[in-house]
Amino acid sequence: MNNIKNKIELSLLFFLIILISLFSGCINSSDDNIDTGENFTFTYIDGSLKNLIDYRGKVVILDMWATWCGPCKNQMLVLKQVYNNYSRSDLEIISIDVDPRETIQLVENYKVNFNKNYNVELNWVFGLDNGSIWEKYQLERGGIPTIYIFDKNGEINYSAEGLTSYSLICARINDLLEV
Amino acid sequence: MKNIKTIIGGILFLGLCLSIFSVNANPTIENITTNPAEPKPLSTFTVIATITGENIISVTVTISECTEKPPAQCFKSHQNIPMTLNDNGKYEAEVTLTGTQDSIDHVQYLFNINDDGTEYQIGDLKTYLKTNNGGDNGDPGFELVILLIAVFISLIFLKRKR
Repeated sequence: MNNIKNKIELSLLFFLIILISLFSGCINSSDDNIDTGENFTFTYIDGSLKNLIDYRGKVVILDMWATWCGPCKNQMLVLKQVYNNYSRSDLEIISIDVDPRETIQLVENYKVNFNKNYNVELNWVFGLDNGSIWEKYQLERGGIPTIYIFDKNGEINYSAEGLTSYSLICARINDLLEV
Repeated sequence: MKNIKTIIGGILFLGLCLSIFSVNANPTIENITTNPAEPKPLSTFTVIATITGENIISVTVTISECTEKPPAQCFKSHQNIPMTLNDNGKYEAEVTLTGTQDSIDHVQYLFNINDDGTEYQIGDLKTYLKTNNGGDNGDPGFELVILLIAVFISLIFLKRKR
């Protein structure tokens, strides 16, 4: 009888240990899921709101520009080459018009004219700054184009003011993708 | 008689082609000048453009302040400044530059032309500013001072030799 009681106690203890380990495991796993990466919200070209966090799991290039900026055109030609060089599951480009005076209609016209003038389709994510992106990410001299490269977890890997070359951008992306 | 018909037909066809061609002609900017010719950063200047088109209704210009020194970038823009038609048939507008960055070395123009109801954008045009960074602006600088000192020393040496 005593033997049976001992066995029941032992099994209860064993069950308790398993429960505690499972519970602590759950707590640990939820800690692992805390997203410490960067985030910002922008107005997508269709008028909806999107976030950087929507693109987690991909390397993201944030390209800050405006329609009146000449070097930004050259930056977009570079970005087109970069975009074509990687798969959509690895890389996304988000071009944000950071001039608060400009509108979605202007951005759309810009894309159409770009296609006409350079025979290049700007087919990545385009949007408008809702005021916070430029404030948060503008660099020392405050010029455009300014680009940021975020890793798959949304951490800033690289930032630069002015026209950035294809080779430099690709080198950074390759590092992040471990190509 | 047959020849005359062919000639008339040809002329009509040519006229039709020309009329189609003229309808599709886009406005062009033939020339841009500024007053003064080499504006300085943080100054006010007038931009004067010779624009041709079918029936130009309005012209605005967006002027951005940029640098070509690597890495090329732009800092400020003055948007949609209305251009007025002057007595010489040219379009002009006045702008005051406000960019304080030392590296600003030129302004870029983006013209928006309403030609007979259709909007056209013409860009990639620029005017270089008169900056003191290059030393090639015609003003006497350190190079001239050094040259004068060198001439002066040479003269002293020559006098002593004699």
